[in-house]
Parts: sequence; C-alpha cells; structure tokens
Amino acid sequence: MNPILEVRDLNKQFIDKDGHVVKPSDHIDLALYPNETLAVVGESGCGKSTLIKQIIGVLKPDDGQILYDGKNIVDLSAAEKKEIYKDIQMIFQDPNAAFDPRMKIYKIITEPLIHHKKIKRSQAKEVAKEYLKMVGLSESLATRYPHQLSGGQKQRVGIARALTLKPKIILCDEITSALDVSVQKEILDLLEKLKKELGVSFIFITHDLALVEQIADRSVVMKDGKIVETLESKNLKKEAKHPYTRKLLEAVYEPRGAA
Amino acid sequence: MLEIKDLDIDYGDKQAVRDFDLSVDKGDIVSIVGESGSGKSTVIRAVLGLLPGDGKVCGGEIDYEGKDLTTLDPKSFGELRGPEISMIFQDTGAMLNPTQSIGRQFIEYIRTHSDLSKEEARQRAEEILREMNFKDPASIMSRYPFELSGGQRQRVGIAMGMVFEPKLLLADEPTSALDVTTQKQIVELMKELRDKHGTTIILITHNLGLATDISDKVVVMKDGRIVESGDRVQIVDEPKSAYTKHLLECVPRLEGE
Repeated sequence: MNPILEVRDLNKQFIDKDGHVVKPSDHIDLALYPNETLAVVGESGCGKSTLIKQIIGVLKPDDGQILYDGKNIVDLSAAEKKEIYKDIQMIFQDPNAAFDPRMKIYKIITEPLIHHKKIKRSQAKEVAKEYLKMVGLSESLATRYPHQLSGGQKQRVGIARALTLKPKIILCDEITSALDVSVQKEILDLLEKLKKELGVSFIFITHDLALVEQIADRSVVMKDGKIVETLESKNLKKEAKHPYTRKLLEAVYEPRGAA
Repeated sequence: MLEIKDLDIDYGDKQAVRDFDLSVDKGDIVSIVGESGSGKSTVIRAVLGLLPGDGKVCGGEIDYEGKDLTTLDPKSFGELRGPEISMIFQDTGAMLNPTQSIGRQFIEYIRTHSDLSKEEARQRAEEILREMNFKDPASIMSRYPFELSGGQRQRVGIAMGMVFEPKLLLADEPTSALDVTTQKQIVELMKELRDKHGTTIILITHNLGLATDISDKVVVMKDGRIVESGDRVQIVDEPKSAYTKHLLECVPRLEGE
C-alpha cells in the first residue's frame, strides 16, 4: 500500500539570537499510511511543532519533499494548496485558543464549510447538529458559547470541526494533555471509533509513551530535530532500543501497587 | 505533624469541600488525587491560608504541630510560609518578578530567609538549579524570566520552593505542564528531599500513576469529598470504591499486547 502522506529528507534550520544554527528538522523521513495512527513522540524543543507547521503549509522547508497523494505540496500554488488542505485538518491542545469565544458552537463547527462555500449560513445550525451527534455531544450544545462547555466537550467540538471537510488526515497536537484522565480516555475512544467508521488517518503528537502504546499503529521518536527511532509494535518496553526512547519509557508513571 | 479534621470549605455560598479528614506523619508523602473540580487544590490552599477570592473555611480544624491553622493570624502565617511550609504551584514560574534577573531575585529570596552571604547564596542557588536539570545554572541566573521557556521558569520556581528544604512541602500539580523526563527528575528530587531531610510532602495531582509511584498514602477525592483513602498498595491493588477503579482503568499503561 502507498503512503497517503510522505515526508522525504525534510530540512529546516534557523539561526538563534546567539548566532547558533538550530535544526528543528534534520533530514526527516516519515510515511503515513491510509487509516493508520502514527504517533510523533518527543518533548519540547524536539522539532515536533516545526514539522507540523511544514506539513500544514504555514512554514516552508529549506529543502526536502512533502508528498500528499504523490504530489509535492511544497511547490504547489496557493489555489492548489487550498484544495489539498481540505484533506488535512488539525486539532489543537487548547481549544480555548483555537475558538473565537464570541462565536456559538454551531458557527465554530461549520466555519470551515462556510469558508469553502460548501453550505449556506442558513443550513449551519442543522449541519452542526449532525456533527455534534457524531462526536457524542448533545445537539442542544449548538447554540451555546465555548465558555459554557467543559474541557472535554470543547475538545469534541474541535474534533467535530476538523471532520466537516471530510479530511483524509487529522493532525492531533497534544490534544488530551490538558484533560482529566477519564476524559482523555473518552476522547481516545472517540478517535478510535472515527478511525474505524470514517477511515481517517491520524498523526498524533504526544510525549506520553503509554498513550502511544494504546492508540498508535506505529510511532516515531524525535529528538533535536531528528527521528531517532521508529517503533512498529504495541510492546514498546520490549521493542525500544534507543537510549532516549528508553528514558521516555522510564518517565511513564503507571499505577504501582505491591508488584 | 498535620491533622485535618472534618474540614468544610465554601466559596461564597457554594460548597467546595465537605468532611475532609487527613492525618500526615512527619516524613510521609501523601497524594491527594482527583479530577477537575474535585476540591483537591482547595484543601491544600486552606492549609496555607491562601484560599482565593471568597473562599473560607466554615468548619473543622487544621492542626499543624499543635497550632490550629484555621484560626491563625496573618503574621504568624507569614512566618510559617517559606522555609517552614513551602508551596509550589502548577504555574509557580509565573510568580517570578519580570523586571529582575533570575539570579538577583533568587539570591535575594535566599538572603531574606537566611544568614548566607551573597556569594554563598549564589552558590546555593546554582547548586539547586543544577539539580533541577539545568546544565548551565550560571547562564540561567543571568537571564530574565521572559528569556526562559515556560518549563524553565517552572523549574526555577520549584528550585526556589525547595531551596530551604522545608519541613512541609505542598505541591499543587507542580509537574503537569512539564516534559516527562523533567517531571521524572523533579519527582526523584522530591523523593530525595524526603529521604535525606525528612521533608513531609503533600502532592496534589490528577495523575494516579504518579501519585501511586511516589506516595506512602493516597487520598482520592470527587465533588469535594474523600471517596477513598489508604496506603498506596491498597489503593492500586484493592481499590474499594468504583470511582477509584474507574480512574485506575483510565490511566494509560505500558503493557504490550
């Protein structure tokens, strides 16, 4: 099977204010396959955000290719990009920062559809209700404002909005790290369900390897702009070899009883 | 050392905490675990007399080494806070003074509460910053808070909270915004503080994995009340309440297939 998204030898460097060269993307290769969840694992400063910015087209790579459906999206015109980026959507860690607090929930959800002229404003409320149902929320939330929702509900709204353009790929940037564990579990279950029902692929950014083991089909571990290890199995303790991955594994706190 | 009995706390006319009991021995590490809105932070703020807004203790006692903290005057509280009882918050780093370099405020803080010379204070500060995983403490000391990342500021704040090896350390989600390897380092440091200096620690966290790793005793809270409390092994291996069981099931684990 061909990858749906492929990053080939991607490089991006900056000069910091002390005059040092930093390479947030240092010869990065990765592939995302249809209906797969790929975890990108790493801590602050590892280059996750720079990688994502290049994938969603807000930052231009120095060199290298980002292939979507076989086309190098780095070189496309603005009009072509607009078309392609319907297929690649993103959910953020902090929905408060991603939502306009003065907009009602139904407008937030349907904003991408209005922007791409897929529906009329008069249809927005009805369409939003369908998506609310899809992510397990009550239709009655459509006319509320973001501040009236809990953190978990807002994150579901973020997912609903990302789904409206029927994307092939959803990028999830630390989307559960601000949530309570029980809510985190519900969100992960929802993503799993959407993956089965809609055939979407996910890129899931996190630093929590226990989470990775639960939801990812494969994962790449990033450090200092490089991919240091690719993990294919669901038993990371057994598989991981790189010292940095081992260090991340040791930093996972699991409930510890007598054993 | 610390004995909390039948504690009730309200915000205005809203009940926040009811019937909270906790007994902490010297050198214990106790975690209070719960999800948002469970009242876990409220309890710990009441201990330090730092309830925000219209929060007030409306029943019960907080006995700390023979003193009832619910009736303590502000001046005596001021003397307790700092070297004796220290508190670190999730956004402890946000409390740094933006107009002074890290070094200047850290040294001043140490000298306010001790007889160390400026040079000795500098050495002490750099030493604890090194323990906080800063490779070049001298360079951190020369910078201003805005020149550091959020995680770096937090580690500076934690260093300040721990520098006097307080008798009682109250830690409210101190690591939840940090990278996992930094979190690990700080948790190890908290354990070391207890093992070497007998520091008593009360940790507030939503992370049951972390709580059961570090603590002798775990208290589980929900909706302002204690759902269950017991020693670490009992909570993990034989949880009595359905809520504790549910929380345990939600924690992601490394277990392979």
